[in-house]
Amino acid sequence: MTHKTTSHAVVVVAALLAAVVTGCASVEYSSPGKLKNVSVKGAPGAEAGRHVAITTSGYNMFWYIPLVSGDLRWDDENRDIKGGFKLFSDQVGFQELQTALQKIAETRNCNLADVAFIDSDGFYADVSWGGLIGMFFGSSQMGVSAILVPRENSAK
Amino acid sequence: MNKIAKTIAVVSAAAALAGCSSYSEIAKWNSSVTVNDGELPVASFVTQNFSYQLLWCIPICTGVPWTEGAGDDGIVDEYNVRLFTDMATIDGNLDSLNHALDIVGSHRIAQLKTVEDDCKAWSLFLFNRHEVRTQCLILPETPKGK
Repeated sequence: MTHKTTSHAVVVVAALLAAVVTGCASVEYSSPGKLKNVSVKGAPGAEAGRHVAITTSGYNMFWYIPLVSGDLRWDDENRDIKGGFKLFSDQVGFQELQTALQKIAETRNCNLADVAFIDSDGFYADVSWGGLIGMFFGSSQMGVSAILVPRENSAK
Repeated sequence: MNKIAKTIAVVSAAAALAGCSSYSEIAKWNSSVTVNDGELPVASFVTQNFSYQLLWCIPICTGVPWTEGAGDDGIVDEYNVRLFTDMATIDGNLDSLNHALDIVGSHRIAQLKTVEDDCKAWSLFLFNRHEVRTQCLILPETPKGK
């Protein structure tokens, strides 16, 4: 293999890894007004709110050795949680998701409704789907979704 | 040989496209069994939409949210696909939910939940399959006996 070919291979592998790790954590909101025609039981004022879903995932080697995981960070500039990643660390957990969700709600002066946690069994699925490398790599994924209900609406 | 290869390529492409079609269903409750607080739901609703992305960011194909038409028997909509865009989002699923509520005739819901899922195994082979799944119970506009 020539030096040039090796360089290209390194760049491609680096690009692939970058693409994978940047997708390890995400926060997605519905647009304002998407719930305006909906009445949610036990959550007065939800029609003025927004639906939010937070997801984190991580890769492990030999089941227990963390390689990279999503990282839910506070972004001072935008005053919001944003998705990042951390190498050799496992940040995939209900505590991290819950803290991020609470921070989002407090910052927007909202209460929460229909909080639902999801713990995916992607680890086991990957073992069978990943073929050759599936024996060595696994992934875990957790998420939470909720409705952000503005406090001035929920108080009515 | 060339013909066989072309056929295989076309069938594979069709199978891949079908794999990212959206699916929505209104499952009528059809029972006197009640849920929390003695509520008798009208139906449960689920919508799931998929998109395939190259390198996590370049959209290849996506399912289309159910926002018009009654669907099969007014309860199921599927096999809507579009190329080079990504419509697998919470907004898209809430559009489908709103459409389903219009069809059912009630806009009162409970237990709204959204799951976002990225298929890790595919990502290791350049492609990511992104799935957004939204579920809820549809309750009668006015609770019975109230």
